[in-house]
Amino acid sequence: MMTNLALLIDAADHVATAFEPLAAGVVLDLKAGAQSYRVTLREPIPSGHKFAVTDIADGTEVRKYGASIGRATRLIDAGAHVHLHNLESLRGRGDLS
Amino acid sequence: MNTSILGYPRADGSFGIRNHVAVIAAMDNVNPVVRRICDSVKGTVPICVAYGRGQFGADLAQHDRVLLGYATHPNVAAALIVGLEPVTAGRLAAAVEAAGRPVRVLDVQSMGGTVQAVAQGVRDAAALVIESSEIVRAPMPLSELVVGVECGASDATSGLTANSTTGMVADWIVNAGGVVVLSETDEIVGAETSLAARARTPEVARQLLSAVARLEALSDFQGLQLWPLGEDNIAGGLTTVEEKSLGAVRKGGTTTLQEVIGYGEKPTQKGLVFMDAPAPGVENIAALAAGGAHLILFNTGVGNPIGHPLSPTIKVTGNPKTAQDFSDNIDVDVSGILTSGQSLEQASEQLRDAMLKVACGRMTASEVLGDTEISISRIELGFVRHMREQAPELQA
Repeated sequence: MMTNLALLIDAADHVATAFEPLAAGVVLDLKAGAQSYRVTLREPIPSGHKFAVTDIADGTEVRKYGASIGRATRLIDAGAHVHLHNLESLRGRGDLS
Repeated sequence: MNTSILGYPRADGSFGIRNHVAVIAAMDNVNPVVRRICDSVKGTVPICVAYGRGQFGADLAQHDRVLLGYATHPNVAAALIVGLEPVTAGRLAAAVEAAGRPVRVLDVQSMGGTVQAVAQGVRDAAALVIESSEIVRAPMPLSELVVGVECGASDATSGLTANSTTGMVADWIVNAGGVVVLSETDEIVGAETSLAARARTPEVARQLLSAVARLEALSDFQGLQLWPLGEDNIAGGLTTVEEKSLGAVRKGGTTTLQEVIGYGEKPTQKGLVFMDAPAPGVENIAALAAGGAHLILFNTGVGNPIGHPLSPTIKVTGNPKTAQDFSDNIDVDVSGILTSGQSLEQASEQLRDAMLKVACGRMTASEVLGDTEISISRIELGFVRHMREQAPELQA
C-alpha cells in the first residue's frame, strides 16, 4: 500500500494528484481530514496528473483544493485519469457565447 | 537570521538593489543601436522593445508608462534614452528628468545614422556609468522592499510547493512593512472570490472582481475561450483555468489585499497589492518591474528560464525533476517538500534567505546567464471602445 505517491488536497475534493508516474492497477489509500478513499487506478496516471477518487457523474462540478475546477463532461469512474478528455472549464467560455 | 539589507540610495529617498545604467529604446527600430551601445559599455543594461511605432491611445500610453517606469526604476541609477526621432525620445527623457532621475537622450535621425548614434551613445552611457559608480550600498529598510510574485511553466507541483512557499515569504514581507505585488489576472479566474474576501475595502474587492469580469468580457468579445494554459502546463497535469488559478493565487500569501493597480502602475499602499496584467511570464514580469518591483520571485514547475533585465528574478521550483534537469536556470530548489519531507516553513526560510542575499547583491541565474527579456502587453483598442459603450461600470 502506497500513500506518498499521490495527494488528496481537501476533504471535499473529487480528484487526487499523482507525484510519480503510477501504473494501472496500483491501489492507493488517500486521506484528507476525516475523508479517506481506497482507489484502484484504472489506467496509467502520469506524474502531476489527476485521477478520480470517487465516481463523478456527468455534469458534476469537479473539486480540487476544495473548489470547483470545472465540470465533468462524461461519467468519470473512480481511479480514472481526469484531464482534458473528461473535464472542461466553466470560466471565460467566450467560445460558447 | 540576518534580515537587514543594503541598497543603493536614490536622490528621492528610495533605494535600489542594483545600480544599473539602463539604455532604453523608445521604439523597436533603434533596438540594434541600443544593443551595440551596451555591448561596448560595461554596467549598462539594454531595454529593447517591440513596437513603439504605430501605437495609439491606451495602447501607446501603456508602452510609454512602462518605459518611464524602467527609466525611473529604483534599480536604475541613470538612463540613456534612444529614439529614432527627437520628439518621442525627448518626451520620455523630459518625464524622467521631471522625476528627478539622471538621464541623457539621443536620436538616430539627428545623429545622422546608426554609426554616429552608437558612437555618441557609447560616450553618454560611459559617462553615466562612471558617475553612477560613486553610489555605494547603505542600510535599506525592509519596508522599502517591493517584491513581485509570478509563476510560469506551471504544473501540478507549483501550487502545492513553490507557490505555497512563496506565499509564506509574501506574508513575511508584508509583516515586515514591505510590498508584495501579485498579478496575472487570467490566473486568478476561478480563485478570485477568496482573494476579494480579503480586500481592505468593498471598493478594492469591486476593482478586483471588475478586472476578472473584464477578462471574461474580452473572452466573449473575441468569441474565444480564455486559455492561459500552455502545452507544458497541460503535459504537467493542469486541465482548466480554475485549477491553474487555485494553485497560482497561493503565491500571494494570506494577508489583506490593500489595493488593485493597473498594468505597470506603481503601488501606493504597503502590503499585498494586485496588479491587473496578463499571466505569460515575459509580459507579466515586464509589468511588475515597471511598477517598481525590486526583485521578482518566479516559480516554475516544468522549467522557465526567463528573468527581467532590471529586476533580479529568482527562479524557484518544487518539481524534483525540474530541479535536477533544469538546474542551470534554478536559483532555489524546494522540491524537498515532495521528496524529503521538507516543511513549507523550512522551504520558506530557504527562499527568504536567498531573496535577502539577492537583495544585497548576490546574482541570479538569469542575471548571470543573460536570460532576460521584456515584452510590453498590447491593448485591444476595439475592446476598449466596446467596454466604454457596453459596460462602462467595469472600466478600470
